[in-house]
Amino acid sequence: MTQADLIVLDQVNKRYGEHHVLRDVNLTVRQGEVVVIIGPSGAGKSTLCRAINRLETIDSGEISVDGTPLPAEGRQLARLRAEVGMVFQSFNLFAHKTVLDNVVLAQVHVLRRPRDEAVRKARELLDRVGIGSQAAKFPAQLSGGQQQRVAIARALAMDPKVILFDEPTSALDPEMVNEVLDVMTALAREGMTMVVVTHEMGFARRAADRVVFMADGEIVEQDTPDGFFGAPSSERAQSFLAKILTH
Amino acid sequence: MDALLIESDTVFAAFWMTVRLTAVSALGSLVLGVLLTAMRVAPLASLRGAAGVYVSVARNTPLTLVLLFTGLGVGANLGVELSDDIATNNFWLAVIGLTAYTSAFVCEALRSGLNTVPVGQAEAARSLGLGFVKTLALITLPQAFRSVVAPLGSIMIALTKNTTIALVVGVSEASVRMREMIETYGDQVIEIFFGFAAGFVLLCLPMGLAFGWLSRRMAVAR
Repeated sequence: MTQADLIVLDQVNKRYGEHHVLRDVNLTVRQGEVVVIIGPSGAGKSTLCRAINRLETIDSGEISVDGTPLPAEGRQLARLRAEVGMVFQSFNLFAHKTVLDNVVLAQVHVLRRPRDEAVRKARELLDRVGIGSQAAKFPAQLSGGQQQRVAIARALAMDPKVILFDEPTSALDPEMVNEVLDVMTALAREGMTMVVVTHEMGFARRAADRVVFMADGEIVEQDTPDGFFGAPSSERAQSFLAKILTH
Repeated sequence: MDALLIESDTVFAAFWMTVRLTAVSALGSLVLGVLLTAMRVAPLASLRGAAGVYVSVARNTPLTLVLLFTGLGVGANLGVELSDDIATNNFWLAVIGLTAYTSAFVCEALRSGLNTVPVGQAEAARSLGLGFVKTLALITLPQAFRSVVAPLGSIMIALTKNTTIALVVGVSEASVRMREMIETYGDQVIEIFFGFAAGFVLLCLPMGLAFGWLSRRMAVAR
């Protein structure tokens, strides 16, 4: 595995009016690394995640992906987004397309793959996430967990350099969380570079190479899962962990 | 009833003209309406502004004025000739007027349809690398269309009835034929009137039913 820096955030700031959501954020994600971002609500985790493929713009600082600074809206940005997968909290599967077409669409229209090749790849990926038999259904006919696994397959179909997960299990019924986390854990084992915003501490312990703790728009501390959960150094991380791990 | 039976050929011909005017103008206004909708949500402020002004003007001008403008202004005054045959020329002038007017309503319906598509749909499309045009064409507009089939149906029914105003451009569609017949058969005014009214009901009623059926069939489940 190479240790090249894939994503670099340098002094990133963002404000919503008075609210300073990202404060001087510096973060580097190496190729093959699984970085899990945790922290209390409103800490800026999702904003940070969405800023990496410019679904959120930033006010100052620089974000680069694989050595290229994020371009402004346009053709180049579209090309870069094709290389950065994104999985949303609310799945966002295309509601008017079948499950199969959801995974095929961007392969054909963005990567310009021949349709039969795209279909073959889509079926392969759907099998891999355990949805192969549901390919002809529409998203609304699937459970939340199944929809989210399709969304992961849709992201994987683009052969992305990195996948961003924005609270992928937060909208799921509890019994469906694990089926999604299992797919993500398998991906992490296979060496996919991942940035995951989540409240699932078990996943963070199990799959993360590094845990990043954010609060009030800042990265407060980052460490290996063992280091962070074993002995968090900051007071904020200690009180956060005390709150969520005691019950 | 005699008059309608004696003249049934010309009555059918007149209604056939109504159908042709409606069909061609409907197609034209759907195409132009989609284009206007795309402009209204485009990232370029000048495109948004231009489409906004166009919709406001077209939607707030009486159709009679629009058709007089295309007939007298574009046709007679500017001397635009779309065909050597006067009847064909007038037909196309009427189509232009009806399309210009109806497309503004189509645009507004589609735009309200776009607002029913969750923001996440466009975000997902963009995050996969689809650009503005493809996101609109493949993801958001198809869903918008499906949510406004019923209002589009109302617009098309209104268009069918609006074709009667094409008489100001000199197109002999159903209402023109009705006026001529009322002049010739002064003793059968009521029958002629109900005959033509029934003709329009026969055209519009199936349209309403068809759009209602399409609307249910095409609805997007979320």
